[in-house]
Amino acid sequence: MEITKVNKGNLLIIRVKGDLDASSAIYMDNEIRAAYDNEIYNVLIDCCDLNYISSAGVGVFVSYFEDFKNKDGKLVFFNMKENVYNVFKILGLGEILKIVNTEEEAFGEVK
Amino acid sequence: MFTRETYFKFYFLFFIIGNLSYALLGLDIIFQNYHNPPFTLDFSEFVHCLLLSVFLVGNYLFFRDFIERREIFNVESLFRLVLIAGTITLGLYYLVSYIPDIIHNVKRGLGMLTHSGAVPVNPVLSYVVKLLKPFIVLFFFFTALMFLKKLIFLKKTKSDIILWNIFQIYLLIGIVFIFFPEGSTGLRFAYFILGGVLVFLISVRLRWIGILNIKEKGRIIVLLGLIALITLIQYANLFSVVIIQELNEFFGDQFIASLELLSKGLEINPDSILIDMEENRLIRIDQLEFSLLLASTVLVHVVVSWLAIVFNLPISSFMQERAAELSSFHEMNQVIQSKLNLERLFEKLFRGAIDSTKAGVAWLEIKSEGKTYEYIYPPDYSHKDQLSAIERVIEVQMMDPDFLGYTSFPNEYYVSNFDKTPFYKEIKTNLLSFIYFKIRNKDEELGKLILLKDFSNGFDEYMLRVVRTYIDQTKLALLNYELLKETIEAERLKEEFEIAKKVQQKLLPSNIPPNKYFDIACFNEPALDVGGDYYDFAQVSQNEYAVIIADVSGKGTSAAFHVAEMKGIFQALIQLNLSVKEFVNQANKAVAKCFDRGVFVTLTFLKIDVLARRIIYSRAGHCPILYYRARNDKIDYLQDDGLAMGIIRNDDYLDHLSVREIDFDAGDILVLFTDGIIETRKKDSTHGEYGEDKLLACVRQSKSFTSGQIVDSIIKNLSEFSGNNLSFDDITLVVIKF
Repeated sequence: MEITKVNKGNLLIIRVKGDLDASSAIYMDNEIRAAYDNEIYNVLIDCCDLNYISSAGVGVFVSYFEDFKNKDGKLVFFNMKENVYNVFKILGLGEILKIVNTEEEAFGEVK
Repeated sequence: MFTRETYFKFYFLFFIIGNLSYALLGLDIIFQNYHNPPFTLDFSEFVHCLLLSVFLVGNYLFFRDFIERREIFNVESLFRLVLIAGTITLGLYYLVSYIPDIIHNVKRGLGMLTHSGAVPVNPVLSYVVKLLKPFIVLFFFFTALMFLKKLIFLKKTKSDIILWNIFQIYLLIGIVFIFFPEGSTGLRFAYFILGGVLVFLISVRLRWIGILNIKEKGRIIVLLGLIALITLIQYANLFSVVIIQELNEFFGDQFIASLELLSKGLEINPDSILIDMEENRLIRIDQLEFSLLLASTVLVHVVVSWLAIVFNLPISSFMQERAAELSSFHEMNQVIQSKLNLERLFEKLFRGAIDSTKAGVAWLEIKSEGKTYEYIYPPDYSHKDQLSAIERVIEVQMMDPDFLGYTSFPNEYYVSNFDKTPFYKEIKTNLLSFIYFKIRNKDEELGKLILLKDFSNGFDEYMLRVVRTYIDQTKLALLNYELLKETIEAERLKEEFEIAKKVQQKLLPSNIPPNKYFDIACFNEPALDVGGDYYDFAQVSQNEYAVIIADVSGKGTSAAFHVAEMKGIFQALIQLNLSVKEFVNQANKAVAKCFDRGVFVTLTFLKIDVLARRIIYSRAGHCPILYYRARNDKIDYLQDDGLAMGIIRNDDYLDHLSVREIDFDAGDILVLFTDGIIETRKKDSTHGEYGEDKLLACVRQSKSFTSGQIVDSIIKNLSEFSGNNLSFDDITLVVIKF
């Protein structure tokens, strides 16, 4: 699993590639934790190369979403593949995490 | 059929026949030379030869078999027996030789002599003596040869057997020569030369020397030395006349003159010797080729063996030390196989290093499992300060790569002339050469070993190699010990897992008793020993039943603990007979308290009201229910909203919770499952899940079965798809048929 980051002011774009499962979830956790500690409360996650996500991977996002919400921030996902989107949908996460289609829409969410 | 008993007696017969022949022969000779024989036998020359041959062959065969049957357990006892035989025969020989003199003295003592003091020697007695003497000596040589044969045949090979058989044939040829006393000196000469070669070949069959240890060799040198001496004397006794004859021919008249002088000095009657020289050829056993070959083989073999052991001694001490080292290495490994005793291991290292280098002083310091072990030799060594000082010098020097003292291996340091180094004057010590080993395991320093001697150049490359091996063995043993500990720990953990699995199985109901409204079948298999799936069932009131299926995020032990917590929550809340909505809300609050951040639970909770024929349920993030409606023969996944539990950890959760009601008819099928079923992958493939469609199709096909049969057919279908692959995720299946 690879993670690439782009900082844009008080906004972080994380691009994740590969599988996000129990072994790689810790790296994602570190990135999001780092953003939070650096007072960046809006994180966009580009999922165009995310092939698979397990409950451990979901758990990472779930564990931070309330913290970000309390700081009036958001975790926004975009370019999700269908199988990954299904996982979020069944869990009902579409209601609490922002999932949009394009990068532009994602930017729109955090303005 | 020959039994052992008859066979044995057969050979005794040979002994009797052989020696009777000799007795007959003797009698005939005596009567021929006697004035008034009681009767005459008057054998022809041929019969004489025959009797002699029978005597020799008969005794040969008897001794061969008689001694063959003796169980000799070791080489030393064999030589002892030969020594005893030699001593007895030698004693008998001299006894028999001096019988005439003894009788003479007895007669003199009894006053039966004439004035001149001379008594005509009784001719019969002298002939009996002359006949007995070679007889006794031959007995020794027969005995000795057959014992030596046992020796030669220790560790025998095919060529040994062939050689021995040739030797026996050769002896037989010697017997044939008896019948042709004159002439064919050329043939006889050839016989002796070839015979000599044969004797030599037999004498160098010395493989038995190799199996002896040093102490045995020491004792055998003494035994064999004595045997050699006795054999030499017996040989001389047997062939004395022949020897004198040869010498006489060689030296001529001078020899007779010096003989007279010698015999005068020794007070031996020279005439008796000369008379012997002209004796009746027929009893000249000493002139037989057979006797010569037999006796020479024994003599040469004994002497060669003795020399071989003497020259072998230095080598064997070396070999013995090497053997001791090897067995010491082996023992070091054995220490590990059984209970590891670190002290024994280090003691073996220390002792082995000292013994193989013959160090005068030694110091070992080694630590393992946090404890340090120290050994000093000699135990009461009083100059430990010198050792520490030397060690400090080495430690400093080892950091300087240019300084001499490094061997070809790292961690080793060798000084051969300490007194020639600049440090010597600072440390007042008599220790002039030493080797220093740093004992390391990967990056960890385990300790050090120093071996010292009070003379220079005390160590050689070979000693270094041996100590290196001891150290390597020690490190290996320690490694084995670590691995063994890990294995034992792994075994223990495995047992714990087995217990955990059994405990978890108890948390999940295996059988739910059917009632007249519906029956339930279930299936559960964790991905690892324990898993994160949970399902349960309870009757909450007279008409209502509750069913729950849940999936804790994650797998393995932590998920299994959460399952136990879920059961607790379910069992507690179910007592309160809450509405579905309230149940799920309370469950979420409880989960939020118990579970860590990032851990969430998906859940489907149903209440079945059998009187109203109605199902009320809530899907909290869990896989949708698969429902087959008998009424219109349609099968579908029920799509409902609902957030998984543990994400919103307060009453706001109610906003994300939804409840639905449906009616049921007889024949309807309700399938609950966890995502392990859907996500089961084909064997050896990363793509292609079992998927919701296949599950639906399978249930549709099995719509007329009982719930149990439906479960079986789904699992079978799943197994066929996955190729009996171990599932990546936990699998749970609950089927309710109305």
